[in-house]
Amino acid sequence: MARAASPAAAEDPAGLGRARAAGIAAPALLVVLAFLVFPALWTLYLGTTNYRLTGFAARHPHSVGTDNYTNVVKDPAFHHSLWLTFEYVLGSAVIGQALLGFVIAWMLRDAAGWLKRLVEALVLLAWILPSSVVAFLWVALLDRDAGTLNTLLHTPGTAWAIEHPMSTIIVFNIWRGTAFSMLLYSAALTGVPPSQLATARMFGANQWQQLRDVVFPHIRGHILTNLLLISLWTFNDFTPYQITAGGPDDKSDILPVYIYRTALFDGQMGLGAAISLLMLVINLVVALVYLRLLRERRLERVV
Amino acid sequence: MAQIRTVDLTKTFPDAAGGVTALDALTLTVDDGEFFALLGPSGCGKTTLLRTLAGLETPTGGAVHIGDADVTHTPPGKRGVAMVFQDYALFPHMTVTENIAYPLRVRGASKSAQREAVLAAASELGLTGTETTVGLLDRRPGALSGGQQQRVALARATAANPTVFLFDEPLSNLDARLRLEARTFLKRLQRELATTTVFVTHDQAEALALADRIAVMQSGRIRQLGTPREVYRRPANTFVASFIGSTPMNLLEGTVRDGRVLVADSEIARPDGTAGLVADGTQVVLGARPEYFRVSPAPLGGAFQGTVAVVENLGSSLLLTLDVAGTPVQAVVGEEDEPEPGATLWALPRQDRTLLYVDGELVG
Repeated sequence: MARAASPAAAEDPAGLGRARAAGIAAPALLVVLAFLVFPALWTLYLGTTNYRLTGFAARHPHSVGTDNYTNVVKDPAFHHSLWLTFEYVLGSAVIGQALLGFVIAWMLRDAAGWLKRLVEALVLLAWILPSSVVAFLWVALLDRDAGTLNTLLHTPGTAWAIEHPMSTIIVFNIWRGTAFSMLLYSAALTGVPPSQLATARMFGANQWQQLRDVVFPHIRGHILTNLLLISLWTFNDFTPYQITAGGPDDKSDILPVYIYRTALFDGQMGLGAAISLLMLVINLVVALVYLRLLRERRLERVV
Repeated sequence: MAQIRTVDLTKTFPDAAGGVTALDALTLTVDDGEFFALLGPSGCGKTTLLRTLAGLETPTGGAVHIGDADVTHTPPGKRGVAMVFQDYALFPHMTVTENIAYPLRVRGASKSAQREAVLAAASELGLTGTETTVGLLDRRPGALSGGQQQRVALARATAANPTVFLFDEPLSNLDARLRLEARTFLKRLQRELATTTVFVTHDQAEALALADRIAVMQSGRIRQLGTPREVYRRPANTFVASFIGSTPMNLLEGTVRDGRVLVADSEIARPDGTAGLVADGTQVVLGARPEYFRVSPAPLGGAFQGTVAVVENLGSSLLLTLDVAGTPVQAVVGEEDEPEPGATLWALPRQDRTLLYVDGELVG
């Protein structure tokens, strides 16, 4: 009897019965279906067609098999875009946001309360503003004729976004996203036992040795989680389009911008869908690598 | 080998009300090789003093000397001081061996020197295996018991080869049974190493048992400095008197009259050594430890007469609380003399062990 009762309880812990449980979950599932699953499947389908925004192929798209994929993989513009995206993610997220965020969090750990709150508020402000607002603030900052930056640096007439497009969007994204890493690391650092840090100091460990031997082992999980999140966000980030529009001359044509321009400017929806799917696969691979690292860490702990 | 000296050491922590004084112009000398206890209730400044000796806190004023050097502004790693924290602060991701080798690794010692130091410290602390026990050197701290963790922390401190040891509440993270074992172990270790050692505790029994000398602290000042015997026998003031002793000392307010002390409607003989020091009519506090009473069911001259209110069994003895004309007086009697609650008894304090306090300070 007892054996028969427990699987039933495990199957229906809330005691609702299958029909009512399904009824409660249904609205949410419908929304997920309509806005997530269906567009994903639709993209998958579009990727195999020559569907265009306008013209004959918009009315009567036909299947082209895997042609879109083979074309994209051979396309130098795609390679170029992929490389720029790699630079963007590495420069602004992995190195910029994560490193700067950690440095600020580490320096602020013993700071007075008011200073800590002030810096946190300022950095957070950059993070919570809508991206379109921030983008236009940066356009104004970098403007060739009336830009704030040129006034501050006494470099009139320098068109930053045109002369250094990749550096511009990398610095922009560092400025914009460092808050997240900083807050995450601040929280993580409070979990490092002060007595272990003090012990290392007592034995004469310098700053770097304290970080290596006490701090990093404690916050390794936080570092990996942070890197996973910010590299995925940055990889999919479309905001740079509002500053450089991928230009000049495709010099800041990162993947999301490349897809947008392919699908909506050139009107090649089928091709755009195919690249989108490739991008999704890259996202998945990146996520899997990080999760693998996190799991290894946990196993190591158990052993 | 080093002596520790503090001169007018002051530490003020800023707060909303303008600052909390944790150390108040504290001057103190800890002799070379001494086992020294800082004892006091929480918030008395004992931990701040220890952390200031370690260099983890910077004093607001005054100086710290270790050996011949003024180390007031020397960073913690360059003072030749090793500290063991209450939670032992072992690095959880390192094995026991790596933990013990850590001080040498930080200094860039060779692998062979590290190995040698680990083996020496580990065998000193009983961490290497014998024929009957398994060695702990390859384990992680998480797989060790509290007592083992403490020994690893001590081994790591020993491996640093310091001139001074600092222990923060060394026994308070252990359960009661293990604590006594660890206490004996710690005292033997300190004897063998003969390294100047300062430890902080709020437990008076721990301080009495371990230390060569004790500084009893209150509000950033030292209220008494002495050997455990001195501090226990002749507490310099009523604060120390009430703090030291497993059963608190009776502190009874009274007045002096005709060479006797009138307290709780009883006339008690004046403590030895106070004759002629206190004028008649002076308000005093009579201090009498419960352990030094003679208790009898028959009347005794110069004793407290009271009824038994509470009987507490302490194992080998009993703690009685007598109601003496409305004032509670505690006395310890042997286990065989268990009185009934409500019985009338006479309790006579030993004249050579009673103490007299005027304005909170010891007379004589």
